[in-house]
Amino acid sequence: MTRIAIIGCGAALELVHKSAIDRLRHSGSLEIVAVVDPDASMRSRASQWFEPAAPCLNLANALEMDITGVMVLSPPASHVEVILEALSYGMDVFCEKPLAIGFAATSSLMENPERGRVSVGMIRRQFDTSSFLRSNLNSLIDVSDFRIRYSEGGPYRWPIVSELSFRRDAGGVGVILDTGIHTLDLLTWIFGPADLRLESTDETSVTVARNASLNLEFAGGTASIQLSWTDPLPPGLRVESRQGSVWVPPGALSVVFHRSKGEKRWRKLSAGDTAGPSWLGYHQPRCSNPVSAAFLQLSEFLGPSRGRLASVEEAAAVLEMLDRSS
Amino acid sequence: MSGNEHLGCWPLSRVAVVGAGGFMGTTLLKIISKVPDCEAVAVIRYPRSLPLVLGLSESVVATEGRTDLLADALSTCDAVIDVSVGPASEIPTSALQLAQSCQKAGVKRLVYTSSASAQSVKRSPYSLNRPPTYYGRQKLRAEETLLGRSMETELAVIRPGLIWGPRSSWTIRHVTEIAGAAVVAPSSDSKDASAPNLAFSENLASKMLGWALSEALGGSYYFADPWWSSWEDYFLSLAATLEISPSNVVVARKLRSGPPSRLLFEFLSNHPEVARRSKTAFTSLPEQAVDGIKAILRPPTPPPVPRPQTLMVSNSSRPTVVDTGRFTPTDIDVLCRWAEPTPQLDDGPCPLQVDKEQALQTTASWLSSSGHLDHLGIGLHR
Repeated sequence: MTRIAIIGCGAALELVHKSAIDRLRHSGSLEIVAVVDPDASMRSRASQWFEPAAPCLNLANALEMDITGVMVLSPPASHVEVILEALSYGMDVFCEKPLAIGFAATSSLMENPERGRVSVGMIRRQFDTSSFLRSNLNSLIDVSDFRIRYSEGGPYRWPIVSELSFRRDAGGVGVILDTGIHTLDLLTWIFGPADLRLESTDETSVTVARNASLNLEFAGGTASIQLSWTDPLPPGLRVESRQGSVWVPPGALSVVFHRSKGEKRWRKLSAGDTAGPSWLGYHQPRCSNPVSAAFLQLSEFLGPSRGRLASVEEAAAVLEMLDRSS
Repeated sequence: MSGNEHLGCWPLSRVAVVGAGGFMGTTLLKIISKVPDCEAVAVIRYPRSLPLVLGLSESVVATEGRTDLLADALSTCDAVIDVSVGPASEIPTSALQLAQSCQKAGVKRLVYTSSASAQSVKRSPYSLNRPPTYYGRQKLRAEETLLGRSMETELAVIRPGLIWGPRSSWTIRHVTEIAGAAVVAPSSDSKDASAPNLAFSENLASKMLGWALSEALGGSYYFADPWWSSWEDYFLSLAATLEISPSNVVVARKLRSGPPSRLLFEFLSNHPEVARRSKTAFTSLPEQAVDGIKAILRPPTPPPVPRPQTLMVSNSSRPTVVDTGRFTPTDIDVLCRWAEPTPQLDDGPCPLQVDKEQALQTTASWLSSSGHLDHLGIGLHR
C-alpha cells in the first residue's frame, strides 16, 4: 500500500481528487497518512475526511509518518518548491497542473536528476476520447493536412474565495494557464509538437487574461483555439481534413463523431473500448466522467505504468511554448 | 454642473447592478460605462463571477448571499437595478431581501426585473387567470411582494420578454434551431398570431438604466422590441441576416392551447376543496358515466411532429409551412399566448441604443466572432 501525504487541502482536493482517493483507500491501494495546509481549518477538515490522516503545517512535520509519495494540490506558484522538497526526501510526486506559472520557474526542477519521479496531472489525457484519437488519428483524418478548431467558454465556475485569483501580482494564472494548459497539452499529446502563437488576450497589467485566442502550428496542420471565462462559446474539438472530419463534443468523454469525405452525416464512434488499469482489476468502460478520469489518473500514479500521466519534461515543454509565444 | 443634466438625470449617479455577473448584468455594466457621470457598483453573489465584471466596474462587491453585505454595498448608491437570477423557488424571498436592503440603505429607486411570463394567461374558454409556468408565478409573487410594500424607495418593475442579442443563450438556441431547420414559428397570418415579446439586450439595459436615473413615476411596465410583427418575422429576419435559407424556418399554421385535462389539473391543484368534492361526486357516479368523462378528459394522441426536412440545401425564398392540428408546446408557445402587442416604455433619459437592423447585425457579428456560426456550419461572409 502506498502511503501518501496531501499538500494543499483546498478546492482541488475537494472537487477533483477526493472521491478518487476515497475509492482507492477503500480498495486498500492507498493510505493518506498526512494532510498539509497552512490553514488550520482546511487541514483539519481534510484530516476528518481521511481519518486517521495527521494534520500537519508543512511537509517536514509529516516526515515521521513514513511517507512514500505526495500529492501536490497547493496553489500553482508553490508547486516547484514543494516538489523539490519532496524529491529531497526521496518521495514520488503527483502534481496538479500547471507545473509552474512560467517556464523559468521550472529550471531548478529540470536540473534535478530525480525529476523522473514526478508526474503532472493532465486529467483530460485520461478521457477515452483523448486516447482514442491519439491511437486512431491516422485512420480518421489526413494527418498531413488538417485544421483544428477548439473552443471552450462560459462563466467561470471554480469556487474561489477572493479576487486574488484574478490579479497577476497575487499569482493569478488566467484562462490560458488555467484552462488553456489542458488544451495545449492535449493537442500536442495527440497531434505532436507545435509552435504557439498568441493571437489576442484581454490581460492587463493588473488583471489576468479572461479571454484568449491562440494558434498552434503543427507539422501537418494548424489549430485555432478560443478560450473564455466570460462568453458562451460553441464547445468542442473539431478536426477537418481532406480525408475526413472528427468532432468531439464536450462532456461526451467516450464518444467521437466522424464523417468521411463527402459524407453529410456524422457517424458516432464509441471511444470507450480502451483498457483500464488492469493491475486494479478495473476494465471497460475506462472513463465516462471526470470523476473516473481523476480515479484513473491517480491509479496510474500508484501503479507500475504511468502511460498517460505527463512527465516534467512534457509539462515544462507546454510552459516553454507559452513563454515563447508571449 | 455635471454631465447628466441634459439627460434629465440626477447630477451624479451611482447605480448598483445586482446580479452583475450574469448576461444582463454585464450588458448593463457596459451601458453604464458609456454614460457620463454615472458609476456602476457591481454586486455579485460569489467571487467566481469576478472575471465577468473585472474591467467593467470600479466597485465590485461579493455578498456571498449575506443581506448585511448587500445593504452595505447599496448604501453608497442612488439606484439599484436587479437582474439577478437564481432558483425559481427563491425568487420572492430574494426580492423581499433586496427591498429591505434598499430601504435600509436609503436607495432612491429600485428597478426590479420581472418577466413577461408573470402575465396572467387568459385562454378562452378556460380563463385560467394565472401565469402558465412556475417561474412566471414566482415572478408574479415577487412583484406582488414588492408592490405591496410601503417603502421610501421608489419601485419600477419591468417585465421584459425573451431577451436576445449577443451572448444570449436564447439567441444561440434560436440560431442553432434555424441552422438545423428545427424551429417552428406560429404563422403571422394565423388568427392566433401575436406580437412576440422579444427584448434586445442592449436596448433593455439602456431602458433600465434610464428608468433608474429618471424621476418618473414608478410602476409596473412591459418592455419589448417595437419591430416584430410576429415570430415568423423575427425568425425570418434572423435567418436573412445570417444568410440562411428562409425555408429553414418552419411556420405552423394552426395554434391551439393545451389539452383540457392539463387545464383541469391546473385548476384542481389550485382549488383543493373543489378537487375533494369533485372526487367524491365522481366516485359516486355510475361506471358508464365515469368512462364517458374519462374519454372526454383523456388527451387525444398528438399528431406526429413534422420531422425537420433536409432544408439546408433548399434555395426557396419562402418559409416552410406545415399544417399542424396541434402545436407542440414550447417556450415560444408559452411566450406568444397573448395576442395584444405589449405597451412600450416612453423614451426617457436613455433612448434606445439601436434599431432593428443594428440589433440583428450586432448579434450576427458576435455569433460570427465567437465561432458559433462556424460551429453550426453557417457560412457568413463578413
